[in-house]
Amino acid sequence: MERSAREKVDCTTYIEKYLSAHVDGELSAGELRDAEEHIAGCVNCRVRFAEERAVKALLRERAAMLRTPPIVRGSILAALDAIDSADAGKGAARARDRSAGADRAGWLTMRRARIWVPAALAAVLVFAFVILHGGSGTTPAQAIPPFDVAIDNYKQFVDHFEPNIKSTAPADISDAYMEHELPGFVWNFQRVGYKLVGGRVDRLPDGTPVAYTFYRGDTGTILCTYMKSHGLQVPPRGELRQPDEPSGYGGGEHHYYQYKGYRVCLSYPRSGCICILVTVQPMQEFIQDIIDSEP
Amino acid sequence: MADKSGTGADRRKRFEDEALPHLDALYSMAIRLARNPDDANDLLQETVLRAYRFFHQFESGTNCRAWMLTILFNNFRNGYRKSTREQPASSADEFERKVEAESLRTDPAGSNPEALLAGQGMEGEVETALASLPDEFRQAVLLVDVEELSYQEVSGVLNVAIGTIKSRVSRGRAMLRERLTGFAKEQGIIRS
Repeated sequence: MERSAREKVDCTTYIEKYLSAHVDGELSAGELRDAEEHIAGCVNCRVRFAEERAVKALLRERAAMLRTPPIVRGSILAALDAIDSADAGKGAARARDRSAGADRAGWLTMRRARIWVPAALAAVLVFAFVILHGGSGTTPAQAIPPFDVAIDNYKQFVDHFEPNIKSTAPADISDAYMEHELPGFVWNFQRVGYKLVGGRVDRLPDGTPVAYTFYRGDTGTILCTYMKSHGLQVPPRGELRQPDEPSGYGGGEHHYYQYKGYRVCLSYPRSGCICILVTVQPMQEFIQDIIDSEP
Repeated sequence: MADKSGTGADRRKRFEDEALPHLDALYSMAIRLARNPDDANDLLQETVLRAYRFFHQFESGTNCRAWMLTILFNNFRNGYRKSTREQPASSADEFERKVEAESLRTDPAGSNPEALLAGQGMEGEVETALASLPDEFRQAVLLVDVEELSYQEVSGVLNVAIGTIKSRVSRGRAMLRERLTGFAKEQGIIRS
């Protein structure tokens, strides 16, 4: 949150925008200065600060941690033992397989993805990643390769999406994604009228895993793509648009773009990974759908 | 860098040292999500076993509690496998039907929280007030105040933008403060 040197924080702003974060130690250095300055000169807000801190302390005290019932704890330990013995048995077999070069992640069990990436795009992927990762401060590349991956697949999937994860249950899709060190969060757009069609895990030309979850509704389609971030910085604005956060905070973690005629939402759900949502629905609808689907 | 090496025994030991100390924290959250002890136990078990399976992906030294809570919330939202009492959803359709049936069956927040939590050692005004909050506010407040996660970590656990977390914590605490005012005045925490 930016404030000019002359602008001071008023009580309404302090209580609505600063108070909780102040008590939780979540303000930036500049915000903290403004907050401290405000309560130094305002008795009411100083009292509110103390009260908020008291509510926090009360929760810590009274909404206590429960002890896990001994039976439950015992059953969990037994299940871990069972996994360990099963793994010990498989260990010998795996050691043989490893030396034979079999894929650790059980990749062989998945049908090979159609090779859709032309050589030229593969070259762009490598080249543009270098530009974005290099970060010398010069004009960023117009193309954003991860977005290109997402929209190219989106175009194909709108015609026909073929899951390669057998089950369409979110728990199973989540498992498959986590096996490949991708986020295990499966968006649920059911509330806003989209059905989960299924999931795919493929490989990008650089060998890293990519996951696609496709959703179809009466009014449109959405593709969720997970991939490694490769140090992708949040692409700058310019031709790119960002909506205001309703609460007035700048920069949350969802970044919206108009990109080559598509609406794209970028977020960072898990360390080292990015989530790219793509649709052709209008921007406002897209933003609202994502907000309404938020857990 | 995630630790991919290590024998089975090493992994088990590391898991017991780093992850199992958070079992009570997970159970406390599981019970508030699942709303009954049987489902909470299933949710907890599924979470711990999943965490164990993917433990090689966990970066030692980062917040293990936050990592496991992410798995817990994912399991909860994806439809964790309840015990043999019930078969898991085998398709997206079935999952949606179950979610709908579940939402009709589960008590709406605040309808009878004391009965729900009685015998768990959670009676009291604070629990009543908490249970009366909308789910998303209650979860945000619990994760920050009881589970002691940062806003950034909560944002990762719930897969929701940081600005939204800030707003939910702020509004959740404001609602709690209101509901607890009577109680707090008695205790001298808040002046009239």
